Amino acid sequence: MRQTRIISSPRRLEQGQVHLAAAHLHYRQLNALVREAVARGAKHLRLSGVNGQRYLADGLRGDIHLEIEGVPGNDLAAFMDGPCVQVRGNAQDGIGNTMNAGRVVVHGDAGDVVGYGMRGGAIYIRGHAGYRVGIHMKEYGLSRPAIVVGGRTGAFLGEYMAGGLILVLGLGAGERPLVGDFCGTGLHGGLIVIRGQLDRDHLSPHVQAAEAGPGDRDLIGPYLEEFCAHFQLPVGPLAADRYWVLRPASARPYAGKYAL
Amino acid sequence: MPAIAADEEYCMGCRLCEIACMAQRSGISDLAKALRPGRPRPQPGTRVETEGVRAVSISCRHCQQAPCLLACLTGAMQRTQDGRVVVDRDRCAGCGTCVLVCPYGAVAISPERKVASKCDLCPGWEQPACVAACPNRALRVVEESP
Amino acid sequence: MIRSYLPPRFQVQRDEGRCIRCRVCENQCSFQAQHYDEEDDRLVAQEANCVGCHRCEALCPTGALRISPGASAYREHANWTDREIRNLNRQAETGGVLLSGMGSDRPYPIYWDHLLLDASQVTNPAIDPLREPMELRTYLGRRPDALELAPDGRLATALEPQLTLELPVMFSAISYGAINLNVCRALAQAAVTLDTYCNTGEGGLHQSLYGYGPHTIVQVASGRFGVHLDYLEAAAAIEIKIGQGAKPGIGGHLPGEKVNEAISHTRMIPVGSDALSPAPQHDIYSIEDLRLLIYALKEATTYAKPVGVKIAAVHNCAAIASGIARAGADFIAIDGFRGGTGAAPTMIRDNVGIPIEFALAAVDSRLREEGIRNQVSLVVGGGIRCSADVVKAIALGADACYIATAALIAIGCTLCQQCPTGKCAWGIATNDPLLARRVNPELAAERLVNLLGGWALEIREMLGGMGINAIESLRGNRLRLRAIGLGDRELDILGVLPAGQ
Repeated sequence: MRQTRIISSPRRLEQGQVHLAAAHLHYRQLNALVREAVARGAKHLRLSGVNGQRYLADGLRGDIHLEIEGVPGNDLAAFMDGPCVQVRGNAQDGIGNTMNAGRVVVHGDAGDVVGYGMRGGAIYIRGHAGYRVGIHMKEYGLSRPAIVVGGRTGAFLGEYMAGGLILVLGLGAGERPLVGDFCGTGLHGGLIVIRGQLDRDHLSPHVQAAEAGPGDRDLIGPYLEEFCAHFQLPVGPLAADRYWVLRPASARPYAGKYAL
Repeated sequence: MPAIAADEEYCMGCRLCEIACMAQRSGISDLAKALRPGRPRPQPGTRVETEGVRAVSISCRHCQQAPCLLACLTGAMQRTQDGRVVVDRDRCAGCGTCVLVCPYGAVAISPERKVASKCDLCPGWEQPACVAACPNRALRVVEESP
Repeated sequence: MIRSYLPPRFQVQRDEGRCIRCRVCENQCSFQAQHYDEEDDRLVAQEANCVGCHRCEALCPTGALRISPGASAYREHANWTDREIRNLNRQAETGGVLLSGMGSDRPYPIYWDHLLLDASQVTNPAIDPLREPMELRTYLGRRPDALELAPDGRLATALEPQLTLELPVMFSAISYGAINLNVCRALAQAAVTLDTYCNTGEGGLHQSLYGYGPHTIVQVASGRFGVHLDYLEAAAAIEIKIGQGAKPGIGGHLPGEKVNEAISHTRMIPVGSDALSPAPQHDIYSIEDLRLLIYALKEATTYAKPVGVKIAAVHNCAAIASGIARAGADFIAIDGFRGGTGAAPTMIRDNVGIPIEFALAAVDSRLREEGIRNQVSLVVGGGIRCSADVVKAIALGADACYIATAALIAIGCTLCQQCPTGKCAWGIATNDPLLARRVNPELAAERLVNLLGGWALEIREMLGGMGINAIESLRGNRLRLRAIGLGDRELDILGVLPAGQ
C-alpha cells in the first residue's frame, strides 16, 4: 500500500482545513485518515483525487465540512449524522443511505438508490439521478428528510415512502419524462413534488396528484432557495413555475388485503 | 411498619387478590366451596380500583400515624408487636368512625358481622394471600409503609 | 359483511359447581368470549369468539374452565380437513389473504426427532458435570485463517470482533411492535442475567432499552426502522435481515392497528399507518450490493463489532451462505421454515422454506468444503424447542441457536396464532396498554432465565454423557449423531450415519 500524503498549505487553504490526497488510497485507509483528522478536531476536510473510494463519510457525526474532488464510490454518507459533504463532480450509487442529518450536495449527476431509508437532512443533486431514489424515506417530528434532484429521476421514485420530501425539477430533462415508471408505489406518508408537466402514466395507483397550492409552495420554497444557493442559479423562475404534488392516496395502501 | 405495596404499572385489574383474601378468611381450603354462590362471603381486606387501563389493589397501609387507631372509640383498633394495625372484633362496636377517617378507604364494615374489617397481613401465613395469588407480581410486602 | 357458516373452533366447558362468579375469565378474555349475565348471575361463553388461548382457564382460581377443540366436527376427511374447510370459508367471507401468527403448525417431519445423541460407555468414560467444569462458552464472529503466536506465547494475530455468550443460545429477533416494550425489556434483562444476547428485530430499539445495548444485537432490515448511528453504536453486533423463516421472500407488515404513538416515534412512520418492510431490501439486489451494506455498516461503526446477515432457510441456502461469507459477514443467521412471526400470510408460512436441520447441514458442509467455514459463525433458529434440539444443532455444525417462539412460550404464549389481531390475552403480541401490562418484565425475565438455566444444565448433562467437557468439541461433530427413520438421501445431506452403524 502506498504511503499517505497529508498536505496542509496554510497559504491556499482556509484555517483548520485538512487536505487529504486520496489518490491510490484504499477506502479503508482513506476513511481511517478522515476519522483521525476529525478526532483531532478538523472541521473542514478536502479530499482530492478521489476515484471511486467507497463509504466516504459513513457514520460521520458533527459539524464537519467535507469537500470531495473527484468521483466518490458507492455508499457515500451512509448513516451520516450531521456533516455537510460537497461532491465536485458526479457521484455513484447509494448516497445517503439511512442518513440521519446533514447535507450531501452533488455538483453533477448521482447514481441509483439515493437516500434509501433516509431519516433527516437533505441531499441536493444538480443533475440527474438514477432509479430507486428516496425509497422508504421516513419522518418524525422535526426530523424531515429531503431529496432535491435538479434533473430527472428513473423508475421507482419514492417507493414505500413514509415521510419526507422529494422534489424533482427536471432541469435539462429535454423531452424526457421527469420521473420514471412506478412512481410512489406503496407511498403512505410524505410528499413527492414534480415541476412542470405530469405524466400520470408513470404514477402508481397509490398516489393522488394535485397542483401545488400556496401551502405547498411555502413548503418547497426554502428547498428551492437552498438548491439555487448551492448551485448558483436564480431562484425566481423556479419558484414561479408550476408544480404537481403527489400525496398518498391512503395511509394504508395495503389495507383490505388480509383476511382478518 | 409492613404493608402490601401495589404496582400500578402491572396490575391488570383481575381481582384475584380480592378472591384470595376472601377465600383465606373463610377458613375453607377448597376455593370453589369457600366462595360458592349463595354462601355468605367474608369481607376482603383489599379492593381493586380501576380507571381506564390502570388498576390498583388498595389495602390497609398499617400507617405509622394511623388515623383509625386515633379515632377508634372503643380501643378495638390496636397496634400489634410487629407493627400491624388490627381490629379486635369483640371490642368493635361497628360505629364506622375508622371507615370515615381512613384516607385510603381501606377499612370497611363487614356486612355479616357488623364490625370493622381490613387487611391484617395474614399473620401466621408464609405470604399474604393476595401477594401469593397475584399472577403478575403486582403485589409485594414492603417493610416500610408511608 | 358476509355471515360465517363455520362452527366455533373451540368449546368452553365451565364446571358450574366450581364457578364462583369472580368474573376473572371475563376481564381476562380480550376476544369477548366470556360474558357475565347480571340477571341470571352466571358466566356465559360466546364460543364463536374463543381463539383457544387458554388465558381464562389459566387464571380461573377454581379451575372451573376447560378449553378444548370445538364440539362440532365435520365428517372425517383426510384431504378436506377441518383446517382446509375453515381457511376456504374465511376467504369466501373476506376475499383477503389468510394471515397467521407464529410459526407453521403443519405436520411436516421434524428432523430433530430423527436424530439421536451418543453417550459414552466403557471405552470413553462419561464426565459428571457435577464433578468437572463444563465449558458452554461460545464466541461468534470471523476467525482468522491461521494463528500466529509471538515469541512470548501470546497471540500475535489480531482477531476480528467477537460476541461472547456463556451458553450457545440467544434470543432471536422479535420486533418492538410485534411485541410490546414489557416483553422487550424482559428479553433484554434475561440476556444480561444469562450473559447472552437478544435481538431487536426490525422495530428499532426503544430509548429506554439503550442501557441493554451491550447485550443487544440490532437489526438492519429493509424498512430501516429505528436505524441510526446511536442505535448502531449502542449495539453489541449488527444483523442485516435479508429473510425470515416464517415468510421467506416476502416483506414484513405491521398492521396500522398496532402502530401507536410510541411505535410511530421509534419507527418514524405516521401513527396508524401500516409499517411496511419491503420484500427485498431495495438497496440490495445482488451479492455485491450486500457486500456494500456490510462494509458501509462496518465503516460507520469503525469495524468495532461483528456485522452478520440473517437469511431464511431456502433451497440454495448453501450457495447463498457461501456468497454471504465472502461478502464479508462475520456471522450468518439461518431461520428455518418453522420460525415464528407476528404476522405472515398463511400460505407462505406453511409452504415456503425448508427445515433448518437440512439448511444447517448443507451450509456447514459447503463452507467446510470451500475452506471458509472459519470466516463466519453460524447461528440457527426456526422451531428450536428444547436443549436436545440445541445439542443436535451444534453437532450438525451450528455455533449457536436462536430461540424466539420458545422464549415467548416461557413467558406465557400458548400459540393461539392470533398475533396479527393485536389482542393477545397474554399481553405479549399486543401494544394495547390494557393488555400489555399483563407482562411484568421482572416476572417474565425470571421465567426466561429459568428456561435457559434449565437448558444449560441439560446441555451439560448431555455433553458429559458423551464424554465431552467443552461445547467446542461437539461443534460440527456429526459422528456423535445417529439417525433413525431416514432415507439414504436424507442421511447423505445431513452427513449423519444411521443408528446401528
